[in-house]
Amino acid sequence: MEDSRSDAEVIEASLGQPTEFGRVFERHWDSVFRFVEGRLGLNAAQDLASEVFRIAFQRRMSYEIVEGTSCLPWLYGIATNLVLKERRSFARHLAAVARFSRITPQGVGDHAAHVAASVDSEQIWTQVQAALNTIDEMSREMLLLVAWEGLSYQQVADVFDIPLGTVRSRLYRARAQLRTLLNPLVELPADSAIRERKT
Amino acid sequence: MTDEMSILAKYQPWTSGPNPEFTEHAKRNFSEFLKQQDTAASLRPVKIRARGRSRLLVVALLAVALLAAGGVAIGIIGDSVGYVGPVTPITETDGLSLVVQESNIGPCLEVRKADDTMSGGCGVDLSEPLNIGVGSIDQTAFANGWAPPTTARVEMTFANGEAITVTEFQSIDDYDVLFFVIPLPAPLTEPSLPVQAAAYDDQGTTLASVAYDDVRDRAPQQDE
Repeated sequence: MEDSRSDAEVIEASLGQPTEFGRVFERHWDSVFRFVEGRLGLNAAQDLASEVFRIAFQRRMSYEIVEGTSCLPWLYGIATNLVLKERRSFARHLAAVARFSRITPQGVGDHAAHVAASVDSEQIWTQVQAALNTIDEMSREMLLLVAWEGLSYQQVADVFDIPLGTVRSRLYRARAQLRTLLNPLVELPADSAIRERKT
Repeated sequence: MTDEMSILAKYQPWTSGPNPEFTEHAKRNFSEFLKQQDTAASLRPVKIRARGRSRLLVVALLAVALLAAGGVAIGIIGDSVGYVGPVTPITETDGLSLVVQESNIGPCLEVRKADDTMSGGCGVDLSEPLNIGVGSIDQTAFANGWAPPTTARVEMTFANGEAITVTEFQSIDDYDVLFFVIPLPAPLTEPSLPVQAAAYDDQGTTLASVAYDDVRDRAPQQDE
């Protein structure tokens, strides 16, 4: 039967009945797994995704309950801390993605164009990951939470438990740095290389 | 989204996601973990939020409950973890006693109150130069741990920005570290994590530092 309770209600219920927290796992397992996989790769995701939920369970008493909101940003925050501990793996993973990933451009009709777009995309990705590696790790995680997970600035502030103004200023600087490093790419056709994105 | 963010958004690494078999496996494990928490909660004689290794803590709590009930020294308890030596008091402050007691898996460092409620963990590695634990008993939050023998002060900073400085330490025979326990002020009734800490000597030189993301993860982070 469908559980209509909000995440906040489930977490509140789990304070008295720990097994209730299993609902949080069921709702967000896939997203958390993909989050870790996107940062560190499949093997690391298999090791760390469950750990995110264990830590979340231990910290549920400090979860700031806001009715009607998803606890996913909170879980991303815990996952981000784990990812930052593995920051060397993150750099390796980005490099591996650049070397081995296959790109599936959208809107490319024939094989030759597909191949050309793929080559372009791999080159672009190499530049993107190189640019990411020049940004300090906390700002980089903020950028990725916005760009890859679709979080708002306020949600990013909640993830890191820092003021919204701090997020704004850090992201402003990080985006300016990224813009400078990616400047030659900005002129590329908008859809020349869009990676297949599973959500 | 501006151009640089659009580019970044397009270049999200592809993820396969968890396969169904692994998801089932993970779900089953997590469900088992939650059931254990449920059982542990029902064993607890009082509300305790603990630091240290949770599995071992439950065993230690059970030991206290059994000691209180039977008044008999316990050797091996539960899954082969138990006290094997006498309790050595280290220091006491504001009704909180810091004690160390040997177990079959190594020293147990525990904070106790007069009514036998306690928080602690066994098998602690006293070769670590600096170690911080946080917990609470009956709404009294505290930090405890140990620091290098030449420590003059330990500074801790919690996630909410609260900073605590420890200047009183105790040494005891057989352990080449300085122990401490300190009650945390009211805003920290629920200890706020992560916590960062550093030990300094009387010249202000940093002797050791640690950062814990989670109280269950007590290994010092390695700087790269």
